[in-house]
Amino acid sequence: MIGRYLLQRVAMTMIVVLLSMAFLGVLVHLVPGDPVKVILGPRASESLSATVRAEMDLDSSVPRQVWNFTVGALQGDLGEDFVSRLPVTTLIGEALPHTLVLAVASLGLAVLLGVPLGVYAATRPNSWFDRISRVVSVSLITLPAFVGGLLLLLLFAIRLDMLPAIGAGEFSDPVDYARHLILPTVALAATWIGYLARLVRTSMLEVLGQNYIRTSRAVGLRDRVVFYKYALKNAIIPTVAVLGVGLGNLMGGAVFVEVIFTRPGLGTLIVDSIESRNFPIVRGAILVIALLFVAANLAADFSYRLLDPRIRVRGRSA
Amino acid sequence: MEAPAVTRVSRLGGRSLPGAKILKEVAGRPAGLFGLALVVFLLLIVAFAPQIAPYEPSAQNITERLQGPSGRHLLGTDELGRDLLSRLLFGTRIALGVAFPAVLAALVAGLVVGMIAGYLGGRIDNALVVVMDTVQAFPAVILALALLAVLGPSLRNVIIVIAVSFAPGYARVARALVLSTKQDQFVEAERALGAGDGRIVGVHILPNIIAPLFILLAMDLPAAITVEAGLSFLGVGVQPPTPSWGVILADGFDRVRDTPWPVLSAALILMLTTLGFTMLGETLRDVVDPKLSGVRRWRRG
Amino acid sequence: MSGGPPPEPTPPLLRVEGLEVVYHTRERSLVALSDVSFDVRPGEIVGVVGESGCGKSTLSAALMRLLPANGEATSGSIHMREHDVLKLRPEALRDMRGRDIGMIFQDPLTSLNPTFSVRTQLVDAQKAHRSRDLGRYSDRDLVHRAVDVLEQVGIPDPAQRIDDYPHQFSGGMRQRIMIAMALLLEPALLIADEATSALDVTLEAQILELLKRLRRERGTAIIFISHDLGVVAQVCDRVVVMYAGRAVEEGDVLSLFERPLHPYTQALLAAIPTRKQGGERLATIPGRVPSLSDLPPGCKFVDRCPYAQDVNREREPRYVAVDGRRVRCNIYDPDSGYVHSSVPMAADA
Repeated sequence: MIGRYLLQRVAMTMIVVLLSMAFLGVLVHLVPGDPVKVILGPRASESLSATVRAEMDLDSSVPRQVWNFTVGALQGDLGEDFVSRLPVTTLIGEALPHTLVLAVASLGLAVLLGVPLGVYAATRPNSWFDRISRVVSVSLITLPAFVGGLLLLLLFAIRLDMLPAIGAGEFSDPVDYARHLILPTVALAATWIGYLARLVRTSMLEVLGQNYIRTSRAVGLRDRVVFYKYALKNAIIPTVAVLGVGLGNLMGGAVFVEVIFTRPGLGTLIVDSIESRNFPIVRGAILVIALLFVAANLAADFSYRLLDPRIRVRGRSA
Repeated sequence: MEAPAVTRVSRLGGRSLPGAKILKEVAGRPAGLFGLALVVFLLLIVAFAPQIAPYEPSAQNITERLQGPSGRHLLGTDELGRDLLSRLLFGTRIALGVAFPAVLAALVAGLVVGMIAGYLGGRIDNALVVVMDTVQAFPAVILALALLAVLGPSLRNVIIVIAVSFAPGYARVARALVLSTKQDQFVEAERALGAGDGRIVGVHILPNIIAPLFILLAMDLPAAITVEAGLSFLGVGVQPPTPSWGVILADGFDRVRDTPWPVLSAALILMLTTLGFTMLGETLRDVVDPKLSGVRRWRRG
Repeated sequence: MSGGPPPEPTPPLLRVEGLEVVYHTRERSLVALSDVSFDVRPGEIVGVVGESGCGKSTLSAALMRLLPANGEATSGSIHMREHDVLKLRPEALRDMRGRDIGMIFQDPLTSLNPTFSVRTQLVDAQKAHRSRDLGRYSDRDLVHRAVDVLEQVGIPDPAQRIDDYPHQFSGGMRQRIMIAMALLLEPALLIADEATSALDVTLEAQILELLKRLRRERGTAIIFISHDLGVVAQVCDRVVVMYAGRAVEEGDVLSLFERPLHPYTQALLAAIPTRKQGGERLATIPGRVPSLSDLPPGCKFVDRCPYAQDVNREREPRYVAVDGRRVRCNIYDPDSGYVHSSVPMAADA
């Protein structure tokens, strides 16, 4: 059924994944000059340079390095960091859950608030609710995650001292963890609430103008059924397609939010590692994020196709 | 589709510039007017910052550090006693001075790649598409971080990095437009008359695909401004003491418990700038988009 | 004449009187329908004909108050049995839609929801009217009813195919599904808005046959809206001719076709190609339909009418009764000031 397309997409995705690994493997060599100096900066000690040489396999030829890195990555080995010699995968494994929780919570919040907002605005076009929500949506769109995060931190954590400003809490204490999660999630979700609300509204309005909605009305269906069942199902399809890309942008925003709220996570890991010139961590973490992004896009693409019966059911056509 | 015109695409002489009409249309809408006004205001700041700013952006005065707004410093001072207002005004130059070239470079690069892929097709097209997809597999900020880790933080590198991240978007659009224009009858007609590839691309395809790309540029500008501010905030972009808004935010963040004013005012100007460019970009798209086909028909003479 | 009082005429099922519909745009308001009046009796098939832009679609939308947001019925009444549709409260209106008046639309390819199965759509249509007598059916009964009706309209293997999605059916089948959806609710009046215009001739014939059967077996009244006079002649009992938002002639189909009164009707009929004309130029009506924003003050047909006189430009002709029919034309209105010459006109032939 979906068979052929699925195969094509997965194959394409695999190629992209491999190329990404190759790209990261070759990254250090994109810049002219001694790779060790690039990685460590001009003031590199001898011993550290030697460590880097060995760890990054810089004595082998470039293709060999790329090959080694890619093969290693496919097997789950992303190297070791320069300083503590811990496997990069371990460090990422510790940081990843926090970032995932944040991303999922934010996406969830955005969908929970943004979609109903958009739907309701579409059911009453040009009403005061619609106008206000449109203004709010646009404002939210222009509030990038890190600015929102800073302002929220300022207001709620510092001025009002209502919520924690630092850290993520422990998983073992869910309530505390949740408290630490609130501000970062809101900061990250804000832009997407605005964006989704607008997208859903536009999509709904377009659907409501379609002939099949006219038929629903002509047959006497209640308004509630027409809007929230017959129209919404059609309007939601383009929205789902967008959510995959959304996760990627969320990852980008998560970096800022984690830094601002001093939360553990991939973002903090990357930024700290760039500062401390711990390249393997940077490389590994970025690879993981890219993989997540690619996976999210694939999932979004497929659920989009599953939702739309015209694409899903390739069976009999009369 | 109407019959293809065999006359050449005329040079602009004689007809009124479509740009002027579009501008009037945009200014006629409230969102567009707001955006336009804001953008013009910002451009004036960029041009006249040295004249407008009360102090040098780098002038330190430790005795007056971390003050709130006052008569002498309208927005207060930062941790080194520098006047905040002046730094923000000069920051406009950084913000636009990075965003514009970066997105323009992305457009040019994407246009070239997209046109090659779309026009030549076949293996080259497939290869280029895969490369573009790979670049787009990294969220923009993440890709930027990866590249900056290697290139080192600097204003010039931020421009490069933003350009690379945004280029695939333009490549996709350009490629799609080339593919559809390629099929158009008038291109076939030209080919039948013996026109070479260069002529077809340069004279017939190019003018028709440029417009949507510029709309994309207008809509990418706010994102580019935000990304630059963000990267500078993280410390991997523009470096202090250069007064990028991101740098001001970072410095302000370190001292936010002493005085919130750097964070507040930098955040506000960043948001206003983004808002202005977003309004302008979206109105531009709304105005030009439905008429885009009209522009195409006009172009074909 | 036989003795005794004349028999009570059957009360009309639908009575439209003086209907006026206006569209509001940012700059002005356009009058799309003006002073439209006609009746539909139970079991009658009434055709509404006219060119594009004459207001047929506005009329069908207005009958169920399905006008777009900027449309408004500003005057007149639409009485369905004893209730004025224009004055119904929202819940009563919603209940009436489908159950008392049903509608079949022109474009079957886009008139069914693509993301729901036929079963869901047919069952939901019935569930919407459960508060009335459809409430005695259980959910399974509703599905059975749906399968039955699908069979009646000619969908092969309905028990299996009811679970399919609209895109899995051909255009003709989808049109039948729409008819089935309308029939399920057993309305007394069915509005077929260009229901066969998108179909090929064979399909059209089948659908027309279906409509006639409906009237025979269930006594359903039908308003058949079309631009195709030939089809109207086959199916309808009476015809209303529309032009520029006005009803210009009305009467039973036979006499209207044999002896058209209004010059527009005459021109329309003359324009129908017939075998006898082979080799001659097809007759057309000179000029074009006036745009709604630019209507002349008097008779709307005046610029294209071969019998036009100045008096027709001043005042809109009244809708007068002539020989059991109605015409909106000064020629037939003795009080209009129209001057009859000695030259015989087609109308007098």
